[in-house]
Amino acid sequence: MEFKGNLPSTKPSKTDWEWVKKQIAEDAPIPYDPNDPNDGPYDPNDDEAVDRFLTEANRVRPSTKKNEPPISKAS
Amino acid sequence: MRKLAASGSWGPMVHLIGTDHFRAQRKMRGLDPTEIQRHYQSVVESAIQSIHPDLLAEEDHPSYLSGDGAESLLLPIAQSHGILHLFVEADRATQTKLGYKTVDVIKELLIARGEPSAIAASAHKIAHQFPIRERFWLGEIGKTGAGKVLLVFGDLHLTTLTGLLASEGIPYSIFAERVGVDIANDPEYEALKYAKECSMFGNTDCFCLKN
Repeated sequence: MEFKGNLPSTKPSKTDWEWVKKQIAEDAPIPYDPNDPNDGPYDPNDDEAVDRFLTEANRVRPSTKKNEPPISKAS
Repeated sequence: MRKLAASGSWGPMVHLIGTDHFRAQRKMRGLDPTEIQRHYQSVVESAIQSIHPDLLAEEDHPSYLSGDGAESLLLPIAQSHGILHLFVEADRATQTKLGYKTVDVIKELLIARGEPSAIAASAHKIAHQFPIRERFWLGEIGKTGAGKVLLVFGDLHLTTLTGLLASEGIPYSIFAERVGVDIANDPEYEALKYAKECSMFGNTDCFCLKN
């Protein structure tokens, strides 16, 4: 019978785990270039910028009406 | 169940069934009819047996149905009896062309007049704007030349629609009203009460009717 479970990958990881652990230990800043359009809308090292972005993100994503139950309507 | 009001000019006889669109008149596509929707179907069936209409007309439009992912329950009944079916409601563009104002537009007009009230806005819609659409419905029915019409519509139209039919000299009977209506959970019935208490019906000179 063919196994369809979830075994760990046998492929070698490309992540440099030693470097990651070192960054965490040093609390090193996350690389961020504000002039790079592909580098995200806020500086992840700036707590205020992160909070501001999350607040705005919530504001511009209201729940859709599609999820609301049908209402009574006789007009 | 049946009240007969009449006047005697030439034209169709219109038999009326007032409903809640979402709870009774339509069903969601792909779902079985609810108990209320089955009740509505049985009301329509008994009307057909009693009236023998040559037209089943309803206040709705294919674009509104598809936009809501819903389907008409009246259409398959008409097909099963071999009776002509007609959607009489105007689409949005036609409503605008007719000068119909939505409740949001009326709210803005009320705010500009210093009278911000959601219930008053709904009352203006019911008492003054509804007849604009209802005249369109009667025009659509008139084009078919049908003699005995069963018309299904939103129950809140009952006051203005019967007033319009009477003023046009078109005989009508109310076969059923408030089918599937849950007054406690429909704030527009509060607005209907408000419109009646404020004697708003019949006023054709309201600010909300001006361009």
